[in-house]
Amino acid sequence: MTAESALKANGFRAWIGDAINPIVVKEMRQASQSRFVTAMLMTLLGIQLVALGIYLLFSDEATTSFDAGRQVFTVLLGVVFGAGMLFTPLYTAIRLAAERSDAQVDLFFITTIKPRRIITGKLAAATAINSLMFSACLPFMTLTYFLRGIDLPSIFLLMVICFLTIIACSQLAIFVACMPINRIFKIALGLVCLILFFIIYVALMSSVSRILFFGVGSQFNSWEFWQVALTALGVVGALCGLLFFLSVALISPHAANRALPTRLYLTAVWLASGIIASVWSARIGNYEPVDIWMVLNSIVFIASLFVAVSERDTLGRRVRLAIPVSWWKRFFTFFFFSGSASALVWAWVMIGLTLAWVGAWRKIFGSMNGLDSLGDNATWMSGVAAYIFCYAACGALLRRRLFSWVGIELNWLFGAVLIGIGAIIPFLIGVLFFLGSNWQLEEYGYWLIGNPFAWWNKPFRSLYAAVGIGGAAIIVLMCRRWFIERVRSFRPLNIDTEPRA
Amino acid sequence: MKIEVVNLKKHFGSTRAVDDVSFAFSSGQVVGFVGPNGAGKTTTMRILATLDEPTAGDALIDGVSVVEEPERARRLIGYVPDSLPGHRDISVHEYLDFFARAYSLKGAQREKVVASVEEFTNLSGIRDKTLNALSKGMKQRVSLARALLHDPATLIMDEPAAGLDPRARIELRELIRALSSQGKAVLISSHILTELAEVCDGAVIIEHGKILMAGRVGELLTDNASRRVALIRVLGDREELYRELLQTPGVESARLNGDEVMAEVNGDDEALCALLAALVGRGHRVIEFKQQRANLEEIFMSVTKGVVQ
Repeated sequence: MTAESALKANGFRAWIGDAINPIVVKEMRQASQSRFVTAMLMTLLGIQLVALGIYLLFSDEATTSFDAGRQVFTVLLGVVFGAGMLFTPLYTAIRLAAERSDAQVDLFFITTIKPRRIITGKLAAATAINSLMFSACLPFMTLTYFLRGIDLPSIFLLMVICFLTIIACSQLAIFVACMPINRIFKIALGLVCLILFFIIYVALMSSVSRILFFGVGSQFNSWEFWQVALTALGVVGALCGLLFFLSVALISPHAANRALPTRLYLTAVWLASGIIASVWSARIGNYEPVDIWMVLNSIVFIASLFVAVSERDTLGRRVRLAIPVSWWKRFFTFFFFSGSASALVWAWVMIGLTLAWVGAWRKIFGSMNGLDSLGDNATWMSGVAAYIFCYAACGALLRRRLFSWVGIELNWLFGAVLIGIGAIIPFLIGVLFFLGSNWQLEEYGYWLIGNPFAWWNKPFRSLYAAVGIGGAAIIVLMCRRWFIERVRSFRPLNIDTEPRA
Repeated sequence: MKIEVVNLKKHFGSTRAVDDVSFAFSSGQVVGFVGPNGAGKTTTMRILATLDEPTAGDALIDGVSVVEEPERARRLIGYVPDSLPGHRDISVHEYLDFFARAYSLKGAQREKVVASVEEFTNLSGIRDKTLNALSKGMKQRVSLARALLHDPATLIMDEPAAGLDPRARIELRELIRALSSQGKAVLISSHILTELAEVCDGAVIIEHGKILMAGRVGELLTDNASRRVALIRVLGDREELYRELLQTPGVESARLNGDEVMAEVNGDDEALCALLAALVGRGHRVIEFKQQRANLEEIFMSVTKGVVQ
């Protein structure tokens, strides 16, 4: 190697060294020196070796069975996928939760490193640890190719699916670890996540044998295969993106305009996925892609109503300093800036635009089969949105009037409790005191009047719609002064007339 | 550079951990933050370090708000907590290198800064030891080294001397002096008041989340006392002086103390002057007349009640 090339190599190494996320550097240094990680990897390798060894040495099927490769691969994949699903998200989340605990916040949170880099670093570190596990097991798994009944594309595709699933679960775990809740709530949420991971694991493993039986290699030229694969990838990717932006917002300073990146992201995803779904539906002559798009986006925007009522009520100096002076720029930024009023308006506008989009689509493709079902789903979503808005706003009012000592960030909890009360109590009263053993008769629909999800009860839909829309209209009327005040106060900070308090 | 804490409040439910605290200090000053356990020192310091957010009020580091612009404030602050958060499986050098990276120091500059900070805090010899294998004193050094990596103008040190042996305390004191001479503003909390008195230019005494007293140490030592204690040595009969002092208006008490007479005078420096003039006027041959200064510990004990919230 010449002196010049050595210099170049050193320069490149230094550049790489500087470019790598500091969190990844630290996490990998700690992981490589951690006895726990080493023991876990060694155990995993041991299990793979023993499983493969026993099968090859003691099973006659290894040489005779036509699906020996499939069987062994399924077992090995089950081991590595299970270990990954349990270990990677848990390891990542526990470390992050410990670093963010109230008593011992890790000091890198008060360095100049950006929240986005922290979350990226954590996710990248989880990916690296997962890669370590998968690369350790890959030789054993590719060895199954030499047995019968399995092809290499299937091996690699299934490993990629499992790998990406673990990364997606790690992102969910990171989000939970970032949540500003106490340890008990965090553990409870963690357990819910573990149950979810177990369901995902079982669902994916049960479809592995089917995928292996048919083989993947032969399906690479099929449009149907790519439709399913890309849709799944897109939906999971979009959800991971949302969790990523939410995690970043959760660890950003309160004074920052935390809502802006998340709302911009959601709006962009809504637009891009809407265009794709519409083109796709038009191309295949089926309304289902638009229907799925509408339902998924509506769920996200309806859920964001809860987030909206829990956002800060008044804007801080930092956010106000970023408000544009020009009125038309201010008009657009209002929808995307932090603040309860902005968040509510944004969520409602997005729900409205989604429904309008579906309406326009129905008009344009009026001759397509099954459009009534699309319309029905759209009306259902608008009804649920109206109900949820009522509950979320009532929760906020309840917290403000009766529990003012509780922080505004817990408004969503009051709304959620009200939903539980509204959905269950009237129905229980009906069953216990009025319906008796005739509760399965049609009349019970009246007792579901407080349930936002009772839309399936067709004869009562107009009643539910009237209650939902009427309730939402009353809430809007009640909050109009508050809202007008928030709109008026959405103006840039005048440093001269409004000095620091 | 000026550090201003303005009407800072932090409530935990009904507990007012920090209750309308305001004080200020500048570059090159070492300010002691004194108070009993649960007084609100750590909470105030955590807010200054941008680890916590106040319920109300603000703190400005060179005009940068720790509430509104914590990212900018973090460039100006180095925070040394009372104990180093647990980091297993990482060496001292790796730990410092990670923080240097987190402060966006690049390549050769990062290596240079980490090496110089290790040298300044005397960590070069143990740079490859893992953090959990270090003694309390060494961990404090690592913590200080970490806080110095980005060359902050302000250092906030929460009980840095707690649990240190005498040698480590002396070394820490020297480090603080060196940092102060570099022009850094240092806010340091400690229970060991004699330590603080030796390095601090100013002190802030806090209890129940409220500031009881704040100012330069010299001013606190003199201004605080509504009484002065004078030590007087005369040529001649000291017992006669003692009896005379007991009858002198303004003298609260007197007692013989070796070859001196100690007189507690009700009043300020003027009262001491008047007493000296009176004694000389009465023909006493005074060869020594000095004021016995209160120390920080006495002031602390006199102004605080030791009530924990």
